[in-house]
Amino acid sequence: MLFSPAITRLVEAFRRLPGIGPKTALRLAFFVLSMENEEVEEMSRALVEARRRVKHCSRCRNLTEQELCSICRDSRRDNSLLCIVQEPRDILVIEKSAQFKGQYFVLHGALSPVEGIGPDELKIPVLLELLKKGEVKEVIIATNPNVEGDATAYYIAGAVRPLGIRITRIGFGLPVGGDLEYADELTISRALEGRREI
Amino acid sequence: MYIKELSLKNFRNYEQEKIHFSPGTCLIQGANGQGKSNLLEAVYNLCFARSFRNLKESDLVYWNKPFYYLQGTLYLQNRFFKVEVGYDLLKKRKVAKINGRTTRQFRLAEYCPVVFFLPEDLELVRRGPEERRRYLDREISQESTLYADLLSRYNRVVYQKNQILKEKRHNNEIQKLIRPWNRQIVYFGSRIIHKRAQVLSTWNKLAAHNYSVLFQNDQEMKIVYNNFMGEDVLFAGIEEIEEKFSNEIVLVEKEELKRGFSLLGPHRDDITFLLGGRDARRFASHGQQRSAVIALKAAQIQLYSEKKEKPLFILDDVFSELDEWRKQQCFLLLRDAEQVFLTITKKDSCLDSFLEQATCSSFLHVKEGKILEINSNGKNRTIC
Ligand SMILES: Nc1ncnc2c1ncn2[C@@H]1O[C@H](COP(=O)(O)OP(=O)(O)OP(=O)(O)O)[C@@H](O)[C@H]1O
Ligand SMILES: [Mg+2]
Ligand SMILES: [Zn+2]
Repeated sequence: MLFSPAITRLVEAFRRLPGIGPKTALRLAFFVLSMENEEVEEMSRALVEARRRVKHCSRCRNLTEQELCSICRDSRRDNSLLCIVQEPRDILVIEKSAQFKGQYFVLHGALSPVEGIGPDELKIPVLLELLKKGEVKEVIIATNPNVEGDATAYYIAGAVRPLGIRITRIGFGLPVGGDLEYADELTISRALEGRREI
Repeated sequence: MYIKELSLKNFRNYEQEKIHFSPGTCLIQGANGQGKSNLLEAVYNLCFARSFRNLKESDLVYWNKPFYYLQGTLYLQNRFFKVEVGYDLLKKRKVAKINGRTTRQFRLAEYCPVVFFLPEDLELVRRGPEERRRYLDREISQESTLYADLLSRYNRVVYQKNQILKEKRHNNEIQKLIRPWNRQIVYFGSRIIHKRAQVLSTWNKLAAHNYSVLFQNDQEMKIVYNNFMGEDVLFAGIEEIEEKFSNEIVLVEKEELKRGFSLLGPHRDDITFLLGGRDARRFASHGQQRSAVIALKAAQIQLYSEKKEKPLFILDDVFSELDEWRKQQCFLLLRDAEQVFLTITKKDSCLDSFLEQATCSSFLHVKEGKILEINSNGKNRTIC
């Protein structure tokens, strides 16, 4: 082993992050070793505390430190509209377009049998319970425009239809094969305007 | 379309070469393992920014070198295009530039009329359905990126659906799980089937004609598209195919659950070559089977010439596989192409007599990744 066990362990830790290869991991590790003690301690506290405090909102499954996230607590929002997204970061993208005033539900993924992700993993039963309360009048499905995202949209549409709630889909206006994350604000607002019933 | 210039840097077994070409036939001669196919690979890469043998980018780089870089000039739609394609091993980065501008989607590929002919294509009739399907998909994808995209999405959906079927959970939830995938199988699948039917019917008309002209055979050649709708598909629009497909896919649900994989759709299609109304795979001679393929290739070349412009035709090693008579018929095809690249290990008399008639041809000798000599038969001299 070229480096001491502590360095190797740090490099291994960085390598677990997405998009970090061996070289970058090594660079980051050396950078950490050159930092002030307090700085490093603050950084490790930030990691541990964020992980400990942040959990899923009990209503919409967005990330929050409280029982309900800030969107769910906001009384000015329209509770009759519910937008279903794949990831918490999709909420950021849609919020930036400032077009949407309703509530969200986060799936944290899309249906993918080969990865063992089914309706239960996406907490679709929780979503259906929420909808059965009767407040929501329209569901907008904003899963990614790829085969997994579409399958998820169709599955949810099938499950929601018996409840008599209007169902629309956005995502068709977005670049084909692209993820919501990369869409610019204009495309998002256009997509929201042009949402289609499924 | 033709290639005017090609320079190779660290590509396969070429360290550095620059070659000028002219329209017409370019004969590439060399012993086995010298780099003939690699040169053709470079030509293809310049037009499509990918390998025709489906090699990985990293395999295209000369051993122990950090990158490869191809540069060339194409003449297409009455204009010259400067194309650069390269791959950096360390950065794992691929670059493709057209007229100096980086392109993420290599749009040029859609416009390049290129037909290639490999020795394994000659065995198309006698090989398995999977190879014939792959041939069909390869040829259609080359001229339609939409088709290539439909196909990759379709295959992904089938892969996902098969996973559900494999798990064999026989509860009443299973239909709800399968239908979101079936809906996409029908959507993408119908478009794939429609495109295949269109392409095959145009191929069919010309190929049948070519077969009778080239081989003066009284047997009639026909290519039949085997799909879930049968011959009806030739007259159906996408909506009609979609409707039939979505009706039929429900009917096989039970059987699919029992067998554990998807049973209906274009991933099960095949084509049958008929000679005199009989399945050529089972009844025709080896030579007749190969003739049918030559007639099909001729059709593909003619289609390009009719539509856009005369194509580039790449033949690797095909001639060594053919008898004199089929070789001569094959030469007739070359006239319909703007530029032809063909490889041989040895010159022969049959080839010589062809080259004498050819309007313009050049000759490359390849040895150990070097272009040793170049000369042409006169009218359009190539200089290196
Ligand atoms: N990445 C690479 N770097 C260096 N050399 C390579 C690379 N890939 C293949 N080669 C060499 O290229 C040679 C093969 O070249 P090629 O396939 O073009 O031969 P060929 O002239 O077509 O032969 P044949 O007549 O047998 O088809 C092989 O001998 C192989 O060692
Ligand atoms: Mg070869
Ligand atoms: Zn919430």
